Amino acid sequence: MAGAKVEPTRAHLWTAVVFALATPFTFILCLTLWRTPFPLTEAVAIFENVTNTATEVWTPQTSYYRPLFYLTVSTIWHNAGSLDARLAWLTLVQVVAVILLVVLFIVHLRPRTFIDAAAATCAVAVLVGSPGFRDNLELPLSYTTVGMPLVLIVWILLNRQPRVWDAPLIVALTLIAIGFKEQGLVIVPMAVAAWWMRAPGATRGVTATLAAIAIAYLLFRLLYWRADFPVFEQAIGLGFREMEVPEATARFGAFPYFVYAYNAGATIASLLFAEPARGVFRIIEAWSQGRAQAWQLLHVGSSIGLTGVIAWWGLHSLRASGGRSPESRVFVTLVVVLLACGALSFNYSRERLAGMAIVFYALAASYALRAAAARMLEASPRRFAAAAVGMLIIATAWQTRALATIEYARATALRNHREWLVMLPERRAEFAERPAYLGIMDSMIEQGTDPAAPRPTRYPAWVAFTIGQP
Amino acid sequence: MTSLMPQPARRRRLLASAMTVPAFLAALGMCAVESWRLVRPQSPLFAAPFVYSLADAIERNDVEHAHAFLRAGQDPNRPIAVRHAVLTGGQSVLVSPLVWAVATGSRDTLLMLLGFGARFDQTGADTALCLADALGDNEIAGLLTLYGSPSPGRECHALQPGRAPLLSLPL
Repeated sequence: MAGAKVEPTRAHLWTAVVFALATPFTFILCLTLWRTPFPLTEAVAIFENVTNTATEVWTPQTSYYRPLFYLTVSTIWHNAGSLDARLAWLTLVQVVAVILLVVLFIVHLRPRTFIDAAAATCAVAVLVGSPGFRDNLELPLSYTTVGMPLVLIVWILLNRQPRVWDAPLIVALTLIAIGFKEQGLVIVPMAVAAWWMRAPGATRGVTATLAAIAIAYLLFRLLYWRADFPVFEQAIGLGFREMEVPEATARFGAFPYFVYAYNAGATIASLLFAEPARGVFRIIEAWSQGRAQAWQLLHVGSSIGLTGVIAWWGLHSLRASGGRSPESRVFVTLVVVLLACGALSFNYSRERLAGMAIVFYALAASYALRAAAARMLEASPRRFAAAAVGMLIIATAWQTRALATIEYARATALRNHREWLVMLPERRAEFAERPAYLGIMDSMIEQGTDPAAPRPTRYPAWVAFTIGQP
Repeated sequence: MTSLMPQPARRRRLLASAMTVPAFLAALGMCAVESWRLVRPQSPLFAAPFVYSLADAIERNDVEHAHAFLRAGQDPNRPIAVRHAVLTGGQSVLVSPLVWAVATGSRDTLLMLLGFGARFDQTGADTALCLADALGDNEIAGLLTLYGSPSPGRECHALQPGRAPLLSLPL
């Protein structure tokens, strides 16, 4: 706890314990990703794109603008010798980002006592068990998976005494994150919040530079904005149902701002309460119809419970420190980053779009659980017992969600494998006029149909229902 | 009462254990399951039930096992022996894998066969489409129209009443 004197050896020991508990998950997840076939539906079109238009990655052609992602794919595609080498390098980008995120997260928390380590262990499960992490694991779409460790590195730099190379490094990392996906922009309000909360590394110069980058980026995007860009890029969820683009445009195209606000709120709520998903309140609907499954209750319950603890801790730390302690800084930054993620998902709500905020939600979870445990040390036996059971339930639920992430990755691998088995006739007919597409597709059939692709574990039904196996 | 209260250090350990034990059990469980996967990859926990033939795989619409037979060298155009209480009247009949996929309404397996070298000749394409129509399977009929190249002016023989579909049509 704060102020406790801990021998350095023991401090390292507790960090090592958290690493040891996180290692099986991280290793199995990365191995699953490594053996996952690339999908037919997304990957081939991306590879065709970088083959045909490698030099045009810097000019926004559509509403989506991910120049550094395309540059990375293009560089690998044109320089790695064989197809196997290309695909291996692209998978490696995803795998390294996952490893880096987990390692940096634990190193940043640096637990020094048993209770620190326990809270950090829960926080790791929150990080990897959240849909915002899980839904960003698809190959080769490493946009946000790359952004997540970058936002954490910038956060670490902002919260330490500045060194000469910190400012250029922060700027470079921010540019990379934005270049991979628009969600990288959340680094800018994060830095502003850190500066406002007097984080040591968030100097006025760094903050002003990042703000200037964000303004320049927005102006650049406006410059290439075209009136014929669709009002809704993808299907939207509203209430209890999903609406495809034509219907959404017909109903809300003239005044889409209410739906935009709903989408932003839905993305924020999905992170805090695990509902709605894709803007649709599926779990509430299932519950009201008496067909809710165990995993749905587990997701909503664990998210509400943890969000409640975080809200209590955050408000308490703000009141106690007047908003100047490192912990209150994490809380305010979580709120700011969450709002930024919501704003950036105005066009359609998806759980993956909250990915950058998950890092701060998990950091906040660690501090909040630690503070809750400290608070309970002096409580009455009854309250203490209730708190211990509550923590056991929250920890169990989030570990279950972390396990589900691995099964989700395996289910994605199986879905990709099946795409290759089933969709070839359709693609050959649809892309008959695009020889580059067909050439790339044919060259990738072997990797797509390899029977060694990961498959979901065939757990008994009660286990599958509890973890929410796809 | 106060003397029975756990000391702060003991309470700290209890709370920390409450948060750590699930992580420990999850890590242990993952290691156990993965070790079992290495030792027994064919365990029912990891592998789908065994399928004896391409015909069985097609009938179950088990696209992965069906593909495994092709991968192992089975010719997707070579006729296979099939037997079905309704479709063949319990008799053993030789049909092409594609026709068997059409007869059993195995959409995914039909697409897989078409994607991995199975081909209709003109008569086969027309007969398969007639079979799908006769069985009332509009989805399969639509797929055959798109990818099976049937002739526009084909003539379909009507199914003989009381006779199994695969015995009624000239396959």
